[in-house]
Formats: sequence, structure tokens, C-alpha cells
Amino acid sequence: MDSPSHHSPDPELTELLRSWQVQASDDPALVAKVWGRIDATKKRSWPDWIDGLVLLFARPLVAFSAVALFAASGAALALVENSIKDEARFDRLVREYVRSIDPVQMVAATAETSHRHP
Amino acid sequence: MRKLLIILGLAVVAGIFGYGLARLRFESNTKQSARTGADITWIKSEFDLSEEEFAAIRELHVAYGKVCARHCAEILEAQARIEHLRSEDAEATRIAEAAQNLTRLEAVCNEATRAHIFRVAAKMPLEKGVRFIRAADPHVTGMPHDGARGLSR
Repeated sequence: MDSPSHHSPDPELTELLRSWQVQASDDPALVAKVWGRIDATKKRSWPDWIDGLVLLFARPLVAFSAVALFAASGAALALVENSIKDEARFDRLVREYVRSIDPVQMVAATAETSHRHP
Repeated sequence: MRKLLIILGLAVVAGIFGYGLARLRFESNTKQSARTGADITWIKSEFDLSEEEFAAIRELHVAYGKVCARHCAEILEAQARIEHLRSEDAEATRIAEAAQNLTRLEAVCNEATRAHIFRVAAKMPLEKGVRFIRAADPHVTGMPHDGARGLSR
């Protein structure tokens, strides 16, 4: 690169540079406002994906589907819980029934409680 | 953000509501069946039997009650005999004989109980009968708890 000393000064450019003036902003609080916005962005407590979620759930179909899915999940949970309980209840009924018709078990239980025959 | 929280809140409420509603429905169904196994009405509801099928089972149950009572008395008597012999310091052979008799009686009782279960099952439609045997037979004294003999799963 050539050094500026090797060129003669361009009178047009010199004139233009002389006439150039920095225009200050009309709003004296502009800098403070810009920094305020930057700070506000930094202080936001949720990550970016939450914004995506907000946008997603803003769609009525997605929102309705989420509510319906939760309701169905609740019912499914109750169904599973009930089937487990039902199995345990069935097993208990069968055990009690057999105990009531099995003399060996009845005799063993006499020491604890009195029993009745069918 | 507020909208998202509202929707999620609604979803959670819907989930709880769905769970509660389903539980309420199942609970009312459960309450209809008997609470204890000794009261045999549970067999009717659990195996969805007709009035005729259940009446036949009830008849068997009542008839077996006398057999069961007799077996019970015999076992109690055999046990009492062993205790009596022990308290008298009787000969070991006599105590062993009495113990053998008790074992024999218990075996007879087990077979009678199993036979009763199979007779009850025979009053049910085939699939329900098999289910009944599979459920009840392993609970009879002396039966392995891995299922009824001859009924592969």
C-alpha cells in the first residue's frame, strides 16, 4: 500500500471533509433508552424456546389439543390404576373364597378367629 | 407468556378432571360387586354369570358346606389327638401314627376342596371356568402357586 505522502491532496475530498459535521440526535435520552432495551433483554428470565412455545400455543388447534391430551392422559391414568386395583381385589376375593372352603386353612385360622362354614 | 400459562393451567385442570371422572365411574362399578370372598355373590359379578349358572353354584356351595364342616371337625379331632398323645408322653410310634392320620386327612380335604373348585368351574361357561380354576386352585393348601395342574397358561 502506498503511503499518503506519495499522493498530492485531493482538493475535492479535503473540501468535503471540511464541510462534514456530525449531526447529534434530537432525543437526548436515546443512549439511555438503547441501553435500557439491551438490559431488559438480558434480564429476561426464560430461554428462547419458551418464546417458540408461546407462539405454538397461540394457535387454537394446538391449545385445544393440549387440553384434550391432558384430559385423556388423566383418564388413562385412572384406567391403569383401576385395573391394578381390580386385579388385587380379584385376587383377594379368590383367596378369601378358597380360605372359606379349605378346611386346612380354616383350621389354621381357628386359632386367630372363629370361622363359619358355607 | 401469560397465554401459555393459562393454557397449561387449563390442560392440568382438564387432566385432573379426566382422572377424577374416570375414577368415579370405575369406583361405582367396583362397589356393585361383593366386598368379601366368603360371600359368593362376587363369583356372579366377577364371572358375569347368569342367574341359572349362579343358582347351580350356590347349590354346590351349600352342599359342600356340610363336607367342609365334617373335614374341619376331623382335622381338629386329629390335631387334638396328637396333642393328647404328646401330653400323655405316649409312644413315638403312636404319635407318628396320629400325625400320619392328620396328614392323610389334610390330603383328603385338599382333594375335596380342589374337586369342589372344579365342580364350580364346570357350572360356568368354559373360558370362565378355566379362569376360575386358574385363580382359585393355586390358593388351595398344598398346591404350588404357579397355577393349576393340567391348565397351561
